[in-house]
Amino acid sequence: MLTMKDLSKVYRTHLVETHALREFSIHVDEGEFVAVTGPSGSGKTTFMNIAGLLEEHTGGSYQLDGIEVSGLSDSQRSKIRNEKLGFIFQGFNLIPDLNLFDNVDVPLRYRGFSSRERKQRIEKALEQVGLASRRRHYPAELSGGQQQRVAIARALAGDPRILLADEPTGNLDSAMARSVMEILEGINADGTTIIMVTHDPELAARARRNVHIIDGQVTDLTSTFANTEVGVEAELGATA
Amino acid sequence: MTRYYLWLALRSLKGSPWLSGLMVLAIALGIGAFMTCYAIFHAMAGNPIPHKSDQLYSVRLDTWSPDEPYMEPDLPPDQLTYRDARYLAEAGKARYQTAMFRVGMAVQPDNPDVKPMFSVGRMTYSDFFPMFEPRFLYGGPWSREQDGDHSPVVVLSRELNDKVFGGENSVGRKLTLDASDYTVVGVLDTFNPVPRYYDVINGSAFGDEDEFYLPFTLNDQLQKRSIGNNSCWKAPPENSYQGYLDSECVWLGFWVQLDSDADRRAYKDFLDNYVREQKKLGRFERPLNNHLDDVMSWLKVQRVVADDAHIQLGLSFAFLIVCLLNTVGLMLAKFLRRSGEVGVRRALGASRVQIFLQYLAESGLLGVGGALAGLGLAVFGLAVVRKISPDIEVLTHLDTGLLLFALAVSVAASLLAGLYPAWRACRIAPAAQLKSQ
Amino acid sequence: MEIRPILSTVLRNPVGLVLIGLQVALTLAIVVNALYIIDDRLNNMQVKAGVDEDNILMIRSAGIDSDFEATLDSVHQDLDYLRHRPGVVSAMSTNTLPLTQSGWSSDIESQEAPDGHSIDTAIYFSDETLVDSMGLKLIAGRSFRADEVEAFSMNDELRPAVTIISAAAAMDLFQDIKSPEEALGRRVWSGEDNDRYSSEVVGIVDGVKAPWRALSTNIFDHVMFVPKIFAFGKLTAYVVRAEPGAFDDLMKNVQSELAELNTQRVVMEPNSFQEIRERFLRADKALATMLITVVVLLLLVNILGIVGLVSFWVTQRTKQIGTRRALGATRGNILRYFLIENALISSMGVALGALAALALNNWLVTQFKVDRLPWEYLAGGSVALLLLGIAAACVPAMRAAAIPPAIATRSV
Repeated sequence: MLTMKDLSKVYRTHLVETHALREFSIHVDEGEFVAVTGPSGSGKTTFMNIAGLLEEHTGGSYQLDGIEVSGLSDSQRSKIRNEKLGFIFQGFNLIPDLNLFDNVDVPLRYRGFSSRERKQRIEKALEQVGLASRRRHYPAELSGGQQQRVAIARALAGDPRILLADEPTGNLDSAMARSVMEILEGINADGTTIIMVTHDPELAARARRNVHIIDGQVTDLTSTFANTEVGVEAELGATA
Repeated sequence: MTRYYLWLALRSLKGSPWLSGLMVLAIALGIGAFMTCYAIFHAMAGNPIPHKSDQLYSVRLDTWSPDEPYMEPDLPPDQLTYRDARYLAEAGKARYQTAMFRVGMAVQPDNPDVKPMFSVGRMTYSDFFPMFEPRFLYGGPWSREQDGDHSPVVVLSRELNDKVFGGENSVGRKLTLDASDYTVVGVLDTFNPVPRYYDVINGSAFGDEDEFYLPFTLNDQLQKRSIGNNSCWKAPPENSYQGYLDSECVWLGFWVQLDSDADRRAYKDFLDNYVREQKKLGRFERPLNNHLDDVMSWLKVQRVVADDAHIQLGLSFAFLIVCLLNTVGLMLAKFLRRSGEVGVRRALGASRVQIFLQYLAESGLLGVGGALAGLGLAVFGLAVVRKISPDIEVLTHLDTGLLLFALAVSVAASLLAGLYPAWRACRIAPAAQLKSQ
Repeated sequence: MEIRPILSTVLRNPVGLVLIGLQVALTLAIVVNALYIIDDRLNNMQVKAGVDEDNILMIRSAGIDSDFEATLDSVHQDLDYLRHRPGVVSAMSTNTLPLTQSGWSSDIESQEAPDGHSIDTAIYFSDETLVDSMGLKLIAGRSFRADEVEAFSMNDELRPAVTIISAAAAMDLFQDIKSPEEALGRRVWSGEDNDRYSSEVVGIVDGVKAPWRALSTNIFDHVMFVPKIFAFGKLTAYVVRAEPGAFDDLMKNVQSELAELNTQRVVMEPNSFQEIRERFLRADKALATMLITVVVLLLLVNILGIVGLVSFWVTQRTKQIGTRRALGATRGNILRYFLIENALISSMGVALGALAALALNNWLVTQFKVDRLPWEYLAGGSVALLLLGIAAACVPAMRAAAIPPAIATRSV
């Protein structure tokens, strides 16, 4: 699904060069749930930005769903982001001027769906996160956990191949964090690949695979204790 | 997608009514001031007879004093002497030609309820009508034969016909001017070319129309003097009306219609030969200096567009630029304040072009708002001008063409103003704003 | 607070500099030139015609079928009526009045042998009641005598024996005199080389204006009165001067009264001198009004623009400002920071604008009848615009100063 090989990212200013990633290689299979951990400044965010095509890498190769993305134009990258990727941010990043329905609508608009299809998808996605009844509400009227669920609905509405979540629970209290996590696990159980950056070891532990980034390089700590318990909870989460 | 952009733009404008209002106001003020001045300038500089303005020529001959030109730099007088005008008119070398001057006469209506009135008209040849093409309400022009016969006939303006004959078809009836009777052969419809190109020397280029037209040849008996401009550099040869007609005083307008370039050259040769002949008689002491100006160059020579109108147009345009710079600044502020939203949209798959178009739609919408408000201001501005200067009332109208022009200028201007801010917005990196800190 | 770091911040993000700078520059260029033109036009509007402006009117009539003799009779009849009419100070036949934009003019010289020095002067037809009828200020000599006044037909040559001229015409024509009174008794010359004639100057009047201004000559101050009764074909015109308080009644009734006196003619509507004056100043008033409007709006738009952009910068730097406050900057420091920043930008704009103003003025001078800009306008305008810019920046800068230091520690 996602393969990076000898990837590097160098930030240059006229004074200094900073190597955010160096000889970075990772492979993620379809359907995996990968938790990415690492100390601050290690390159986690750079990795996520590159994986999500938000930034370009400076060396090496990166294949996403069978497509080599190095050297693609900005609009090609926009199209891939739109069709294959879903994003969940720590700060939710809902557009405050739009109600929930219109927020979820944003990526679908760029996708060029008919208005009927958009409506169906939005309603389904909002239902999936349990907020269908509040679609006319504005983000400011919701709790943090609810806002993050809207963000998840927005990410899901376009049926992405990979969901990228950057500290999705970082701004939430633990009860809310748990409910968000349960939804993510449900999505993963339905077959969507998820890559999640977190510094919460408890959450990381719930993922099937853990990747640790230190100093721009990857250490794969593929979880040996991926247990059935998680799967059960995920199913419960999905039916809840 | 366009509808989506417009919908977003409308929401965004409604979301910050003060800032949006400020931008609309800035555009509206700029457009309002500019359109007020442009409407007046446009009318002043307009072509009053577009389909044949390059076939009608004003004739100037240099009869002025050998000691100094009529006007620097070496320009001939704006009008002709009686001798030259009469000769050229009756030589008939062009398809149409006419000499003319304005006269004032007392009109005595038959109807005892209508008081006698003083009226300003024009002595001219019958060619005046096919040349300048006023529309007739009733009847038509007199004929060239009637010119030759000194026929006592008259063509009325619509206004005089309304006053004297209550607007009825008066063709065949008598009009009494200075105690003599004239037969009405035609009544014109309102005749208001802007500018009144065929006589910008006497009276205003934007003034009232003549109330009646009489055959020029009738002046042999009437012995009228022009109520317009009269300039002399030399006293008449004798103290009598005939002496005045024989003098070097210039007081008549002269126009010809020349349909092709070859006609124009032939006519110029004719004029030059005429002047050479006259030189032998001791007239035309200055070097050969004959001018044929078509309508648009004549209006330019006569500086029909006032200096003030140029200054006003220029300054109001500069004002519009300042308003637009102002709008660029405000739009930039408004668009970049929403950098976060742009980052999110980019992350969710919007391409740069899509972001660019979204913001351009917003500036376009501001432009439409500015245009509408600006047009309102222009209408108000023109009303103020009318109040201050009622004599240029004919210049203060906004026609459909001008309205569309204003709309186009306004939208184009605000799109232009929106280009840079929209470009800045679409350059926002998708990742940059996503870490909320 | 140091200027250098602020300057470098400004230069690192030159968009604001360009936007506000250009705005200020264009504004300065327009405002300074516009104010100069406005001042010129307002000056024009202060013009004094040199006659009793509040109490005179002009009225014309046109005979229907009258020959020259009949027209003259009618003039005498009208004048006799008007001069005995209650509420009338005096009346006379004339061709035109100051500021009417139409009339006669002629070149006159100071010597019999033309020496190349001549002045262009307006000609007013008048009679022995001249001073009273127009309300003139006679500063030397006398008015015409009744026996000097003659009838004038359009076929006659002017050739007056005596004349009264304006003080300015006297000074400009006779270049050797120190005061206009010295022109008394001198002769003004006209006519062609072989047919010269002259008129003796018997009176000097002060301050009276010609009917029009001219670009190339100062004819506006050059006036010559001739003792002739005006009859242009069948057309006649009178100037009538009312006693204080009687003008409105005269204005209202004079047309019908004259019409009744002689029905064989058309009496036109009278024009009060105030109407004549208003018409004369119309273009000046229109341009001045338009320019004043533009100047006011321009300053307004500028203020709004500066307030808008500085507000944006303040919003954008809220966190930075909080941090500065947390690190010990006082409110005053923050306020001063924004004011200095704006002053820097504005002064760059003003510098550019001063150049643009000179260029614009140069263009106006070459294209139109506009004079060169005095430096006081430029200096005054620059300082005023700079102060205005700083004042406008005060509003958002004060908001910036009010940002609490705690903002620094808050995320979002």
